[in-house]
Amino acid sequence: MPHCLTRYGLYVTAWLRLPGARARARRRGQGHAWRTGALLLLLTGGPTLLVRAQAPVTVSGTVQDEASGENLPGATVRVLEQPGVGTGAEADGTFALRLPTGTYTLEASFLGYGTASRRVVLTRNQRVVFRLVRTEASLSEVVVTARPRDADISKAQAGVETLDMRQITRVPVLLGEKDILKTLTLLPGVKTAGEGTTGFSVRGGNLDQNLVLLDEAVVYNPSHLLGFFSAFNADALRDLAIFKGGMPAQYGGRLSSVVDVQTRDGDRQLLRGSGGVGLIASRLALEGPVASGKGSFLLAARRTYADALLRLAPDETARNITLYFYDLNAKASYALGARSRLTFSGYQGRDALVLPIFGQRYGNRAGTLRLSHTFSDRLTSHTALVHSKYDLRLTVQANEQDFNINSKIRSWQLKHDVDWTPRAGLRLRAGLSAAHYVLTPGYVTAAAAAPVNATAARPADALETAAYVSHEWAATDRLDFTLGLRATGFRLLGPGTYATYDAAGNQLSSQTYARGQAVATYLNPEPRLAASYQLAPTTTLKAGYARNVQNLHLLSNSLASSPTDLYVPTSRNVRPELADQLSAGYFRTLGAQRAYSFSAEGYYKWLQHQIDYRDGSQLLVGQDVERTLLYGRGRAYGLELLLRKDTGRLTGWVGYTLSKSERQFADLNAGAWFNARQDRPHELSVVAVYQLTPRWSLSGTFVASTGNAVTYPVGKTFVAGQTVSVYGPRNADRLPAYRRLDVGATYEKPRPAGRRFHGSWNFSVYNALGRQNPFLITFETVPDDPTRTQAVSTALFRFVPSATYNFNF
Amino acid sequence: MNHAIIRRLVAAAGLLLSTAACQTVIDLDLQDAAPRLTMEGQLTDDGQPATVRLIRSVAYTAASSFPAVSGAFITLRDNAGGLDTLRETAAAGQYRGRTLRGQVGRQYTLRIEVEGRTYAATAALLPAVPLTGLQVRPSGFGDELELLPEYQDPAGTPNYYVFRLYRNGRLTQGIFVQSDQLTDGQPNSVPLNVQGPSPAEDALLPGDSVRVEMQHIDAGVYEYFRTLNMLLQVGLASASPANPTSNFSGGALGYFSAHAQQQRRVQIPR
Repeated sequence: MPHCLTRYGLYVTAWLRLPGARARARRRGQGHAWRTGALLLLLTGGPTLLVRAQAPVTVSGTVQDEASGENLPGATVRVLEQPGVGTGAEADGTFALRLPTGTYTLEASFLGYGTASRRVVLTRNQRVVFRLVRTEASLSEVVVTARPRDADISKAQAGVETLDMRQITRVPVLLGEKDILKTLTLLPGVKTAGEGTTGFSVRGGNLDQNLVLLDEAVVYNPSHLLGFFSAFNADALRDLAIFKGGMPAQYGGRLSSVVDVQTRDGDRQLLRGSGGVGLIASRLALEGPVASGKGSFLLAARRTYADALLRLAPDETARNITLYFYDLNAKASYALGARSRLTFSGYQGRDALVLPIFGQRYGNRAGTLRLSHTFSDRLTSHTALVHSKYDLRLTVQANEQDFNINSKIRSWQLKHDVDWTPRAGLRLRAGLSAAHYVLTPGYVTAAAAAPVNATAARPADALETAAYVSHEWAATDRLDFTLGLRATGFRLLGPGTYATYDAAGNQLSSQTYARGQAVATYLNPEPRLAASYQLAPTTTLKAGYARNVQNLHLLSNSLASSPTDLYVPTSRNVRPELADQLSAGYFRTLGAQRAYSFSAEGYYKWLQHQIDYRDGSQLLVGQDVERTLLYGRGRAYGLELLLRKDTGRLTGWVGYTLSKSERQFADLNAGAWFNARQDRPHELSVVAVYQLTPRWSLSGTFVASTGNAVTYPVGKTFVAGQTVSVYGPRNADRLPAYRRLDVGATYEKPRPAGRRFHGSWNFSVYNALGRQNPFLITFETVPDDPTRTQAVSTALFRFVPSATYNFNF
Repeated sequence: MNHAIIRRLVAAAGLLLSTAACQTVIDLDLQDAAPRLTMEGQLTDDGQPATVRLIRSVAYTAASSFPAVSGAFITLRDNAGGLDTLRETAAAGQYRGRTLRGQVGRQYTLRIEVEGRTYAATAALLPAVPLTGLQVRPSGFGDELELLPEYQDPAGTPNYYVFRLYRNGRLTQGIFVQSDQLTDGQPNSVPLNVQGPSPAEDALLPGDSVRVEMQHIDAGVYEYFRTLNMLLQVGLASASPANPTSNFSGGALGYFSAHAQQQRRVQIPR
């Protein structure tokens, strides 16, 4: 007979570690040695490749939302007469295609919009504007298009998935908070770190090997409230793409994936608003034109109100608790003449959990200022200044004995990209980037009377530079290549004292460096190759190889992603992590109207210089964490099957992943290979949205998987007056299999003619079958019988209902 | 201290999230490893000879009755040329020295030869740090009480302590480890929190008679108790638990501790 209770200790692991610190007695003056020396060159002299004799002309233009005039970056423009020829609209919504003179039918499409086609007679350069109609406007047929139709069939890129925000809106989630990161984990190859967390693992990688970008800026900790919610307010977002392998050369910095989240552009014609009231948080967004349509703005905010409810609590302790998170998104863009556009996008999110004595506050900031310029129909450039920051403070307040433990990471990045299409079927992209990081591991600030001693902040400075070229080439009508090369340089800079350690964690040497002096320097080339061959109009084969390098490493010893997880840079001890991935896939569209798409992708990944803690390690402030680290390698391989239906009354997908992910460390598990934590060989997900009537739509997700790899006791012994478990091989056991069904329903109120205000209700039940999926299994002495021990499973969420009211005007 | 903060934060987080979680006792198919030797060696400055207890681990699902290991050859040496042999006592698996007594400032090496293998551990017997008081105070959470051992940490050297608590003469489950890493030279402010993972019968109540034992231990013994404590505190379990870091070479479970020991008693007012 299970007993249910409000269990406090579950997320203990999330709080387990105080931010660690490096024992680097280094003095630090004011300011930072900001030596990015941003040398920006126009890398237009890419490889010169066979240019066929043609009389090409350029057809260029924009793809816009018919109603709002908002440009639609990422929209696809195809040439129907030339299978495989097409392009995607740029971030400012413009596109350009070089074609031989002739007569063509161009077709523009975008997720969630109807397609539009235009017949053009090309004799000279020409401009075309496509205005696409949102398909949701006619509610009789809601199209939940997850990606540009056929997009991954006509380009060489494999291992990429995109999700539309309106699709994410309808997928039922925990407590009704739309969550892009949790919805991502329903795709094959993306595994959640655990029940109720936003951490995820892609193709067998670690949780920190995902580059999460919001409008090009890194979000270091994309979570709120102990990881229960993601940092992203769905109202502010347009879409996201995840690259699971074969990343294009313009991305770099993490081994396993790139999650590229884009903020929406504001409406360019009307001032509009939208918002929602949910169980956890409320949201409000405003957008509209500026300078009579030359620009637009978007402001979106979200905040929780648990603390407001706590004020009403009878218990004084509860009334004195501070508990909230909020986030703000802002985006503004402005056309500087006909050819340039300036865009600003910013994010700030903060969390506070402060009790009468102890507390925790943390937050992320990300901002991008971007200038796009169109030199000609064939050449565009983008320059961006990018800032990111994450900081964490643990506080103890006790009668003038206050002390805090602080840690932070911040970065400034300058990047420049050039995109050149010399002719149809050939596209060259190149770019440079320089990023300066300051990582400040945990240090103590204390009042004079505090019971602990203050420690010095020992920030580590680092400079990461990267350059890339990428060459998209249609070799024949059927054969496409994307050849890319990225080079990443990383330099850890003084001032500071840095030590080296042997395999047992004993210090070998220690050296003090002056400001700006190189402590360690690494240069790594990252080749990225992709090829696709179109077997038939509906069938494509793809293959790719990619190497990725990672120089910032997140150390985490907990089950869930945690705000106290600690970033460390590549150093004298820590090598850049490397991943080599080979992948191949089969892609096919099915059905009379290409309503279904099917893909099968296989991959094998080698991981080098992986990092883990020595057994029993604990991060403490003021310690050099590198002393406690071990270095090893990994391997991951798998097969991902995905069948999607993106049009019609029933939309959704079925995904299945068969995979393996293992690690090997000389000093762990007696040097034998062991299962990575997120190694779950079988994983099935079913996502379905059904438009029942024009007003009601139903949705459901079903997830089933092997349990996480865990370590169970292999025996017990008695020591220090206690019965103590004895452990054997690492991660050799499994949690019981996981199964969960979530259901939801959305009711759209009819919009009376002439009224702008429109509301909808969303209802959902998380874990509707009430299955007790073990989140954690613990082993304990049987109460009342000290001679026996038992296994206790803790399940987190069952039958969690929610209701959310959304509106727009 | 970290654990104390963490435990409270966790309690609050759980309270605030007020997620109804369910706990169920389940049947698991556990693998059984071959029994492993577990050794526990003690030498204190109380004028008594060293003691060693040798047992073997059992399957997880078996009854908690641990077979004693007899027939071991055990020696204790100090760094001043002293040597003692520990003989098995009337109780099987319990060994006791005869001549060598624990002396502050010396370093001791315990060698255990059993079943053809040798295990050795070294520990330093550090001078006692005076335990000057024992306060009973409210923990700030509900009606729970906590104990504050009062002592002044010696400045300039790393110091490690382990506290054991006896409630009405019975050893409680908590193993309280402290390190002066953040508090070098400070008077102690870190209480022994009895709540949290400890079983309900360990809670301190008015009228209880409480005895606290304080051991000043070296880094190796601290490392053992710290990692043991991580395993015992359910919430603090690492994602991939491993056996505690023993100071014995040779792959045995357990530890050898040489320490100066002090104790204080307190009666909790009604």
